[in-house]
Amino acid sequence: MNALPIIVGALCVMAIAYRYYSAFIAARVLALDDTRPVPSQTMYDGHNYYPTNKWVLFGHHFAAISGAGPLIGPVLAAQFGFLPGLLWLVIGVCLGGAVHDFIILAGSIRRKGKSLAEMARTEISPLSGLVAGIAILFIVVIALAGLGLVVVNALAESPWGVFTVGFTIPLALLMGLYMYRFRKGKIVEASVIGVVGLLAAVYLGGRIADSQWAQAFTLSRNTVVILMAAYGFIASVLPVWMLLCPRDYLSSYLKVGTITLLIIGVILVHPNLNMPALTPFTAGGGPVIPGKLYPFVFITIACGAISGFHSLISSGTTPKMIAKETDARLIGYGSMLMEGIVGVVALIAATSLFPGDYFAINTAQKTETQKVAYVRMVDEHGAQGFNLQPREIDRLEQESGEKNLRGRTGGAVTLALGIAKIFDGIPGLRGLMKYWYHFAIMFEALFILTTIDTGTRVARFLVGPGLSQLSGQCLELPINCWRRWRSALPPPSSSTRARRNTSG
Amino acid sequence: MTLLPLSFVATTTLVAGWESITDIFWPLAQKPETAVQGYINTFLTATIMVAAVIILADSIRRWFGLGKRPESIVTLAEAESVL
Repeated sequence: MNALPIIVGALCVMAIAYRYYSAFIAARVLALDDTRPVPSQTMYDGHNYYPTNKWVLFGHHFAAISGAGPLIGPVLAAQFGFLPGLLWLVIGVCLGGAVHDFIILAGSIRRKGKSLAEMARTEISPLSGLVAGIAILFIVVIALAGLGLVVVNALAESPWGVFTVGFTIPLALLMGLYMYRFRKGKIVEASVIGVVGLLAAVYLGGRIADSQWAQAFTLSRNTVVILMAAYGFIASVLPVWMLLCPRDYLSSYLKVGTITLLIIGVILVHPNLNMPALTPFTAGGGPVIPGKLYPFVFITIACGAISGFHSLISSGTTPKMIAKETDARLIGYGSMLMEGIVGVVALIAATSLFPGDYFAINTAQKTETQKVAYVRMVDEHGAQGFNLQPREIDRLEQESGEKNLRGRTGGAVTLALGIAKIFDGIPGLRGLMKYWYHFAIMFEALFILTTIDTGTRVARFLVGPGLSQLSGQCLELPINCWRRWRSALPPPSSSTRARRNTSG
Repeated sequence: MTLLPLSFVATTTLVAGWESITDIFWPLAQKPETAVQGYINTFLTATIMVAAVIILADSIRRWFGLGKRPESIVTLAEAESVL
C-alpha cells in the first residue's frame, strides 16, 4: 500500500470535518456568540486571565495538547498493522477527540474558565467533583512523569537538543515582552523574530554538537531532570503571557513546520507502507503491546484520536485566555485535527519501515531470555508466512550513526528513523540520514516539553485552590480561637471602656 | 447522540483497564523482580477505574433526576456579570 492516497485521503476527511461538522457544532450545539463576555474580559488579571490573539492561542493550545501521544502511540500501535491505527486516528479525531476538546473548551469558557473538576462539582455533584479532582491529579502526575522521562531520554547526552530547546526559553521571554510590553499587539514582528531565532537555534545546535562547545551542552540525566523541574516551576508561576504562551507559540512553529515538511515529504517520496494492513498480532501476544487489537489499539493511540488529558488544557489555561467565543472552533476543534494529522504522519513513518526492522527495534532484547524469545518469535512467524527477518537495520545503523538499534523499545527511535527515512528520500536532501535522525530526536523532545510546562501550570490550577483553602483554614483556626476566647471573656468594665475611648 | 461515543469510550477504557490488570500488571506483581512495578500499576489503574465508575454512576443518577442538584449561590458580582 502506498502512503500517498492515505495522507491525501486523511487530509481531505479532516478538512471536510472542520468545514462542516465543527461549524454545525459551533452554530447548533454550542451556539457560540461573540457578544457574550468571556473569562479573559470579565476576570482579567493580567496573569492567568489575559485576552490573547487567536493564532497565538492556537499555537499555545496545540503545543500544550500535543505531547508524546500522537507521535509514540501510532508507532506502537503499528504492531497491529497500519489499518486499525489509521481508521481510529481519522474517525476518532473527527467524531470524538476534536468534538471533546471543543465542547470542554466552550463549557469552561461559559463557566468563567473553571477546571473540569470544578465543573463536575457544580454540574453533577460535590462527590463527582472530588473524585474527578483526585483522578485528574493522578493523571497529571502520571502523564508528566511519563512525558518527562521521554524528554530526559532524548536530551541527556544530546548537546544539539539541549542547546536548541534551551535557546527557546530566552527567545520566548523576549517574544512575550515584545508582544505585550515593548510593541503591544505586534504579533507578526514578534513571530518573525521568534522564527528566525528558532531556525538559528536549530542550525547552531547542529554545529555546536560537532564543535568543541559540545561538552558544555552535554548534560547528564540527573541534570536534565533538575533543569526540567526548575523550568516547569518557573513557567507555571510567571504571568502566562511572559514565557509559557510565547514559548508554546514558538514551539508550534517548529512543530507545524516539521509536520508540514513531513506531509510534503510523504507526498513527494510516497513511500510504500511495508507493514501489512493487519498483522497476526491483532489476536494478541505481540512483543510491543501484549494485548489484543480490541481494546488496546484504542488506548495506545489516545492523543491523536481522543484524549482525556486534553480536557485539562481545554479547561485549564486556554479558556482563561480566549478573546472571543468563536475562536473556540479553531482552537478547540482545529488544534485537535492538527494533532490527528501528526498521528497519521507518525503512523506512516513507522509503517514505512520493514516489519522485520520494526520488530527488531521494538522487541526488548536486553537479557538472554528476551533474545531467545525474539528469535523464537521470528522463526514461528516466518514459518507462518509473516517475514520478521530484519532487512535494512544494518544500513540504518550505519547511516543514522546509532551503534545498536536492536531492542530500542518505546517508539521514539522507530519514529526518528521513519522520519529520517522520509526526509532522506526527498530530492535534494539525500545523504543526510544522520542529520535527520538527530533532528527528529530533538524534535520529539521539543514536541513533548511544551506539554510538561502547561501540564505543570494545570496542576497548579488544580492543587492551588485546595492548598490556599487549606492554608486559609489553618490561618483562620487561631483567629477563630482568639475570637471565641475573647467572646468568652467578661465584658470590660465601664472604667476600662472610658480609658480605651480617651486613649483611642 | 452523545451517548454512543460515551458508551464506546467508557466500555473500551474499562475493558482495557481490567485486561491490563489481569493479563499484564497482576502477573508482574507476582514476580519478585517486578513486584513493585506490578503493584503500583495495578493500584493506579484500579483507582482510575473506580473513579470513572463513580463519576459515570453519579452522572446517570443526575440525568435521571434522582439526585437533587445543590442550590447554586449567586453572588452580586456574578449576577452583574450576567446582566
